[in-house]
Formats: sequence, C-alpha cells, structure tokens
Amino acid sequence: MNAEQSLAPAAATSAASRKRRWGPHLWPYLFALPFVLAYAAFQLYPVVYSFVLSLHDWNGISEKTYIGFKNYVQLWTNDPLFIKSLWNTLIMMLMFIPLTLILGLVLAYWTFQLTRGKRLFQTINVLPYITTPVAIGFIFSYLFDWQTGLVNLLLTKFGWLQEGFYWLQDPWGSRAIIALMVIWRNLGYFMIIFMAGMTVIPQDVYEAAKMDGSTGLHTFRKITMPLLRNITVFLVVTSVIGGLQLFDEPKLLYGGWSGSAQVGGPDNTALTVIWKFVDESFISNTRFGYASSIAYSLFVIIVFFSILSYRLTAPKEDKR
Amino acid sequence: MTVVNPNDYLQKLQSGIASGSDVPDVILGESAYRGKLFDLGVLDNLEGAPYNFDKSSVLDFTVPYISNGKGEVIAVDQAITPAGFAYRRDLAKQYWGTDDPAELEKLISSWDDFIAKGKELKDKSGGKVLMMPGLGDAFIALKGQNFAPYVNGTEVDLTAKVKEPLNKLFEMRDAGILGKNELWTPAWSASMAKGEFMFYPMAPWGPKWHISANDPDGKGRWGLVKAPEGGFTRGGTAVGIYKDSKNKEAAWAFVQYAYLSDEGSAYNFKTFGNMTGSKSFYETHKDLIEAPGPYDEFFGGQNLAKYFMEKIVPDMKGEPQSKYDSVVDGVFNALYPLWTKDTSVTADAALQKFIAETKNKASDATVK
Repeated sequence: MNAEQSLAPAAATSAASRKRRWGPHLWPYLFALPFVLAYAAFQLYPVVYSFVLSLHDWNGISEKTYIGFKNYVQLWTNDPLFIKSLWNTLIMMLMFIPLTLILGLVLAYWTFQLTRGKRLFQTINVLPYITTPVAIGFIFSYLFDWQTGLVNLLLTKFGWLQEGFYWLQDPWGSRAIIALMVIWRNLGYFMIIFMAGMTVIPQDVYEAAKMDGSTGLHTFRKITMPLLRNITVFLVVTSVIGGLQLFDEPKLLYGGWSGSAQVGGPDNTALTVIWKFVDESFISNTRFGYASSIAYSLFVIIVFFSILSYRLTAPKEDKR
Repeated sequence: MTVVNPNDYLQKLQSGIASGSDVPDVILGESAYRGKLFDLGVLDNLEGAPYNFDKSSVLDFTVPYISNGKGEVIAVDQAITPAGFAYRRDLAKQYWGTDDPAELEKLISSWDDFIAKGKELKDKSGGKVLMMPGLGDAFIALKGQNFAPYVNGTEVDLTAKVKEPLNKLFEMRDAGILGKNELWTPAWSASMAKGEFMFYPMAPWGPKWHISANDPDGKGRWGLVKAPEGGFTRGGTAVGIYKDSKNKEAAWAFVQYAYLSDEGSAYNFKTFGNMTGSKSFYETHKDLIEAPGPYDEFFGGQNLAKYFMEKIVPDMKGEPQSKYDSVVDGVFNALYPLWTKDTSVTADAALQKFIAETKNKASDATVK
C-alpha cells in the first residue's frame, strides 16, 4: 500500500516516456507486493525464525542459548514420546483417511442421484464440518463416557455388555473414537468435494456408456471413479497434510474444555505430534526451542508424506 | 483489556513476554502452573523496594507457596487454601449415625480408619454410596499431606513424594471404597447432588465454586471435617507483580489492599468466603470469623472459617514450589484413569510407570 501511495505523485510529475518505461514493468510487482509483504511478514519470517529458534534453548523469557542441532538429536534419538506421537498420528490417519474417502465417495454418489431432498441431505451432512470443535469434543466425550455415556448405557441396556466399556481409557478405543470424530466431521466436506467433481463429468460420457450397455456399479467403477481421480488426489494429499496436524479432536476429547486436561490420553496413545508440540511449549514444559524442532521435524515429515501420497495416487502421466 | 481463560493464562503470558507486547502489571499464578511461573523469573521480589513486604505478616505455612527457588517472596496468596473434606451430612447420619464434624473426626482419624469406615459404608449401602468419587480426589489429599520437598535443582525424588500416597491410594482402590470418576468430568460434578459419595476434598474456595455450584439445592446437607492425619492444600492463586512493570507502586497498592489489608480481606471474606493469608486480619476481625460466613448456612450452619482456622491450619506445613510440579500433576492425571480401569496394576508398578512417564516429560531432570 505504501509503495503505491508514494508512487502516485512521482508518476504524475514524470515524463510520458519515463512513465512508459517504468509503468508496465512495475505494475505486476506492485500488484503482487501486498501479498508478498504479508507472506513475508506472517509466513516466511515465522518459518525462518522458528528454524533459528529450533537451534536454541529458550523458555520464551530468558536469554536464548545456541545449542546447534542438539534439539533434533534429542528429539529423534532420545524422546520416546515423540516417536510414539508420530506413530499414533500415522495409525489414526490410517484409520480415518481411507474410510472417509470411501464413505464420502459412496455418500456423494448416492446423494448425486437423489431427485428429491438433495439440498436437505447435503446440508445435514455438512453440518458437522461447520460445528465448533469444542462442541464436537463435548458431544463425543459425553457419548463415550465410562459411567454415564450414552453408548455404554445402550450397550448395557441391551445386554451386550455386563459393565460399561472404558472407551476413553483404552489404547485402541481412544484412537478409534478420535478417528470416528474426524470421519464424522469431514465426511460432509469430502462428500461436497466429490459431488463437485461429479458435476463436471460431462453427461455425454455417461450417455455413451449407457449406449454401450454399461449400467450401475460398472458405470461407477469404470466412468465415475477414474474421472474423479484428480479430486481424489486432492483429497488424499490435503487430508494427509491435515491428518499429520491432528490436534483438535484428541485434545478436546480429553478435557480441552475442563480444568484438569489429560495430556495424551491413556498411556499417551492419543498423543499426536502437534499435541506433543503444544505440551512441550506450553503445558508440561516451556521449551520453545525444542518445540520448534518438533515443528520443523513435522514440516519435513509432511513434505515427505505429501510427495509420497501424491506419487501413490496421481495418474501416471502427472507423476513427473 | 483481554479476557483470558485460566487454562490459557500462562501460555498467553509467555507469548506476551516473548513477543514484547503488553504484559499485565499484576500476574496471577494458579496452583496448576504456579511452580512454572515462579521459575520463569518474571515476578519481582516483593521483599525489596518499593514493596517491602514482610513475610512474617502472613501465616507461616503459606510462605513456601509464595516463594521462588531462591527463597525470595515473589507473590501473595489471593486466599489461603488449607483443605479438609466436604461431606454429605444426610449420608453420614444415615450410615454412621452422626453428622457432627467432631464425631466424624474421630471416626476417620487415620487412613486405616478411613478405609475401614469406607468398607462399612459400602456394605451398608449395598455399594450405592462410596467414600470418594475417584482416585484423583483421594490422591489430592494423600499427596498433599506429604509436604516434604522432593525437588533439588534438577533432581526429582518422586519416590519420596508419591510412594506412600500411592500405596494408600491403591489400598483404597482395592478395598473398593473409591468410585470410578475422573476429576472435573460431568459425571463427577453431577455426583455431588446425587449423593453417591461421602467426601470431597475442599478448601475455603470450595463452598462457593465447587459444592454449591454443583449441588445448588443442597443447602444444609453438607459439612466440613478435617482429613485423616492432617491438612493439605487444594488449589490457590498467587498474585505477583511483573518485574518490568511501569506501575509497580500502583500494582502493589492494589495487591496490598485487595489481599493483605484488613479492609480488603474483610470484603473478600464476606463476598466470596475467601480467607486472606494476612495474620492481622484474624486478630482485628475476630468478629467476622465468629459471625456466620456466606456459605455457613449451606453447610448446616457450621462455621467454616473457624473450622479451617482452628482445626486444619494448625497442622499445615508449606510445600516449596517447583517447575516440575505441573509435570508430575500432568503425569498423574494421565495415569490414574488407567489405574482405575485396570485393577491388576499394583502400587509398585504404578510408581515405576509414574517415574518413567515423568522422565519422558521432564527430560532435563533426573527422576528417581
């Protein structure tokens, strides 16, 4: 903005030839400037700064001490909780990404065919996606509470269980519930994106297929699914990135809304990388440098998994 | 002004200081993160100018709670937090034949008596009424009664701090006298009104924020008794002054008036039931202590302030604060639900797990 303002009087006074010489060259840069400045200030600088921070020992208040790559060495060789958090995150991603994709696709296909109530059905399915995470945390911790939860009440009422199951304190129970929360929240979003993809598939392709005698499941497998490939790649890559940053659901399930928050769930089986990062910087410790090294390690991991998931899902001709 | 959730307070404060933005002149240290706050070195020494606070003017047991590792007093207590047990008068009367605090003190004078009484209660009620809502509640009292310092620099002697409390805790769990609730969960809060449990650890802030809030119709059905084998502290907020504050005198004038002066203390007491740490208040305002407090009626007319001062405070000792306190508490909070669920875990195994997890979280410390 400033650059533009300071340029205005200069442009008015300068000769027409100078104007021509400067103008056309300058405009693209000028238009890009606001974004570049904002990016540099709010993205690039923090990214560089947190790398610098990761080479220091710092509690946010005292003097920073330069310690080289010690934080990274400690993190990768001597911090069982970090390895565990990474492992947990990957396990939970494996639980929710494929399932959300399949369910989202099926739901989208089914909704797409609906002639009546399509809008209503879409809206209902997208509601969880726009629900505040805190409310989701509340809902699920109420549902799965050991003593008073609705799920246990039903299970015991119908005689399937003698005593309620302690969902939230079971290593696999906790992960499954978190996966369920993510699926429940994202399903509507996946559905909408898939439906958008279906809308752009030309109808004549379907008509041609119909002429050739293809119907139902066959059309879905041979026409719809391949033509949705780019959409699927987008969803896989973005959900891998989002999945590695998993934090809201586990944190809120384990009392993010109450006074005594339990970090990491039962025996840290629900501890995710970001939760570990938050715990190191603000909850158990105040090690900003160490936490930055977690953030940077996660950045590298995300880059690696994004490329990997792209390579695995993208069509052959796009893989270069 | 920015309104901050207590859970986020320290985080916001750290970010504020780290980024060089505005920091409040008066800084609060809740018990959950008090040791960490003190360790950051952002609070001014109140014994120096311009405050010249005299630590002999406050109750002796509170001094460690307001001092940093160097022994400097860097905060004052918003209110003292000696704790005993709130109990359900109706249940005590029904199962033990008395709801008189003096009688109950005798019934549960030791933890062994407590366990025996708990078994009796469980049998008589057919398992409907237990002693406490969960392992978390019992541990607050058990660990809190062990005032011995357990941190020396980066050496954390967890065994000295929690071995005995864990042994007793597991004895209680195995006797089946504790419920299966986690602290602060909806089920835990609801249990107060339902009458499923006899005792809840309670400090002077409890009648307002804890008991009457969760059992609004429970007027008259609560009582206060001291815990077996002595007092402990529960919660509490320290109030300090930012070391680079530009308004130190004004900040101190506020803190001094609100939490130490007789007038401010009287207002706090009458309004919230908060009890100051200042010794002089208890001399000049004997009448207030004698008079019914704001929540006495809720507790069947029992004089709560007097009971706290006469029966609980005399046994109290102070516990030095450490940055590892919040780690230890966090680890306990993560572990006790598992011990509630899996009753095959022994006290010894629990201690080893406790030590291992604390090591994981406090990597700079030597934990034993």
